Amino acid sequence: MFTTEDLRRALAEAAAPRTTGLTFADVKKATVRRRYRTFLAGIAVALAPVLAAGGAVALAPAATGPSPDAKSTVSPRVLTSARYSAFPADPSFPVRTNTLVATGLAFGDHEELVLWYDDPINGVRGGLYDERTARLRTLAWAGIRGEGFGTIGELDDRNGGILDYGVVGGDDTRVTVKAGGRTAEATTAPVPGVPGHTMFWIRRGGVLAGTTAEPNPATPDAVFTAYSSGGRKLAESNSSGIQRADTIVNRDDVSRRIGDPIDTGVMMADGSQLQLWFDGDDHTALLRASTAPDRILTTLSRPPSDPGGFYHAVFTVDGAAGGRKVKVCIYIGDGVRVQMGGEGVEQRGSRAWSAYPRLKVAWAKTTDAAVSAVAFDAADTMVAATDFR
Amino acid sequence: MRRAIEADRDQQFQAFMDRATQRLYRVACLLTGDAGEAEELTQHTLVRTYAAWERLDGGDPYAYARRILVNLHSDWWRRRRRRERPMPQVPERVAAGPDPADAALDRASLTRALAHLSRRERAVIVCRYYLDLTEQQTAAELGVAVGTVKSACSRALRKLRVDPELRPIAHHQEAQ
Repeated sequence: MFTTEDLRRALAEAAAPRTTGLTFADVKKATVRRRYRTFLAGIAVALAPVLAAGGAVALAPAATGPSPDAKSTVSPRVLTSARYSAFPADPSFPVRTNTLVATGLAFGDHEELVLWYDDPINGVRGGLYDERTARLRTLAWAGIRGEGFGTIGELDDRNGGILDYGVVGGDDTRVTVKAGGRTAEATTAPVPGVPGHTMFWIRRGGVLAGTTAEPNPATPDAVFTAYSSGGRKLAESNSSGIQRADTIVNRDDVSRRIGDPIDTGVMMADGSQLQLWFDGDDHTALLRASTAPDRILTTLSRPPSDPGGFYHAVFTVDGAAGGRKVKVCIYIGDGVRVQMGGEGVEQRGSRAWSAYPRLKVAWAKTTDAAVSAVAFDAADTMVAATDFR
Repeated sequence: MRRAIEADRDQQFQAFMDRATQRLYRVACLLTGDAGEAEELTQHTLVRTYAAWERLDGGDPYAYARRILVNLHSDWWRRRRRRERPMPQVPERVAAGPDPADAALDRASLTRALAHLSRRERAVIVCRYYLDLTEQQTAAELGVAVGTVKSACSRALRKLRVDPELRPIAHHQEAQ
């Protein structure tokens, strides 16, 4: 890339072949769904005060704005022994496991909410840390912003309360939470190593945000307000910025094996053979690999969405013998076998998932090089192909 | 009477979609780097535009939709970027004629290079060099100061100039 004209041309060329089949009927259907959700959310908001009255837990009264000399900022307690194992989805963004900040807020019987700074793009992330096993389960990212709030993560602490966490722009920023008609002050701490940002957390009562993948989760009843150390109001959260953060953790806890495991025959550096399997619940299937069972390679709905074609992603399992990686992909359709290809592919295969035989899992032991995949039908005719781009 | 008004509005919106959908989708592709997410983002943009259609009377619906798209992407991307989904149709097939590998490589390289930029930097690059907006228009589109656009653009260009992902494009351009 040499000049901005080159960039203009490259952007135009990259975008030109992209087309979508979206129709007016799709938009109209989605509009009806959106109106319906808005209607339900309205009902839930109307009911929120009633529910909050019965569900208030630990919301301590506080002034509507913090006084300048109020002190809720803490020096972070840093955990160094955590083993980060879940969701290392993108190795280019390694987690700094030596800067996990303990919040002191319990989740269930044995886990504690922790926060850490992930990277400049994703910002602060939440997690659940079990000191007995040093296992860390990840929650949603809270982001990072120069001003105002990032996404506020919210979860049921399984002890009758609601945990919220997030990050807000500014040093020494104070954060209050108003929920169920009461106001409390969140605990805050500097984001380790990132001046100009403050992370916060609180356990409270009130109404938990709904579980939904839509951009505006239902019924968060809390309003977060940030103040400078001098008491000046800096920002206020809006409902679309509050997101349920424990959906995958909850699914993880009730998950069971679905279908038969898939033996790939690929030897790993630790001497084991790589096995892939799905677990999950009635609505969700999570693809896992034997070398990192805490990690979820990808999440599918059950039954899988079956428009016919490749799942638009390739997943990487590290630790194959010879310093290689295993690339894994998913195909759903009429094809009976899938073949992955690309520079450096040494060993490959595919197998139908017994719980949904139209779904094929394919794998290739390879290097970091890009891979492609082709699906063939019973007559060995190609029925689909992708380069995952 | 009401039905007639709705039918008229639907007709207008359909005509707008005919003109704008692919353009919006291409912007979404550059912003998200993912065909599935781009389609979802485009659909949500169109839903919001449709909901606001009557208020847009006399305005520029494409500019309105484009602004929604860019800002929706800003709001969404963190919570949605890790999700994958099946493609809605059987994807690329081997085509006769010129080897599409070079073009595909360029496209993928640029997509990956854009992914290395921050959300704001990517949005600025797309607004400035794909949509050809001025710095002032970009600032208005993103709801930030002109100075923020300038600094983000300068940072992004610096990153792109040294991004190893873009070497293949440079090589191809040298060969042409």
